Amino acid sequence: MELEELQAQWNEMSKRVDKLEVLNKKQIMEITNQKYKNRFKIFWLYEFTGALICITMALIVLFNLAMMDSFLLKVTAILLALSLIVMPVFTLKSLHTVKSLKWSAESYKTVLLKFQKSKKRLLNLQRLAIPYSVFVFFTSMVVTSKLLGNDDFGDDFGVGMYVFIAVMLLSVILFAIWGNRKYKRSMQAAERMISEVECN
Amino acid sequence: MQHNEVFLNLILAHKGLIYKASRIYTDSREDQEDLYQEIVLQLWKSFENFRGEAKITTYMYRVAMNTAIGFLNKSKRQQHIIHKVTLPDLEEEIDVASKEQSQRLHGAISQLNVIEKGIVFLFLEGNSYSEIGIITGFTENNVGTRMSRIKNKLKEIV
Repeated sequence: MELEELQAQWNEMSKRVDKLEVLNKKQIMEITNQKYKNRFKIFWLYEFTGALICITMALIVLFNLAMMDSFLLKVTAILLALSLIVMPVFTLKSLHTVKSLKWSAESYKTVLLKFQKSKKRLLNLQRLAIPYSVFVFFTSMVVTSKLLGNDDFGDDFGVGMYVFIAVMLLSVILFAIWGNRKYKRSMQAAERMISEVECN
Repeated sequence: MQHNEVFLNLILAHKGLIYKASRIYTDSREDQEDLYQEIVLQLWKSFENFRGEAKITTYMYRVAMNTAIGFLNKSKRQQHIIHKVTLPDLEEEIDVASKEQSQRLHGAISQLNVIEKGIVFLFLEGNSYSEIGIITGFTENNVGTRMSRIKNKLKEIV
């Protein structure tokens, strides 16, 4: 298709659009009053609540650090608390980047770059999400058991529990392999877009 | 109150710009309607910061196109709007030949990437390379280079 042909068709469409009654004043005011709720706000609320729960859990673990009576348990508890704080903070930061963009002040190029870079950060974060979940799952089992006063965690594990752990680990590995392939494709697309935006 | 009235008149005067911007970045009517609303909302939110230093259309193109990038980068569960306005169907009352032409137009544009879509949209709207540069942040020369690439790419699209 030639550009001239595209231009002619575009002009034709523009004429039709100009004749359309797209919105009336009442509808525009309803949009500006945000009567039309955007799910982004709800999504933000979910993420915020999740982060709040994680941080509360981390604080509980840190306040009860004295209960961890071995060096290994203390290290596990600290690592668990840190991971419960770091991950949600990163996610909220990434959402905040999107929320804080000034649509009228930034150029198309800047916004595209910011989004692609934020996408890369998010992809890296998602890549960590699988090992992170496994880590939190196992460390929280150990730490919670201790917090609840159970001193001999692991001693009374039956065959069923070991099978459960093995199945869990296998599923996580398979999921991670699948996720990694997806990650590579998305990351390549994001990097391609960044280099295309930056190319002069 | 006067501020509201100025904004309302602005949107009504440039309804076509918003309609076309929301159409060029989306594939379905549902997405187009969501994006249209999002653009109007973002225009309203940033309207008080508009000092009149730039042309009103420059400000509108910028907000519309940046909002579209944001819209495309949100996941489905983030972006869907619960209650929405319904936009009229542009292809409802036209003859078969015009409908085919319109589909061909959007089919060709849909094969361009997001940078090319933005540039070609501004070009088709009658903006000069220099104006496209101001809106997009690319240099005038860079816009020219990208336009030649777009022309070549369009030639390959049947």
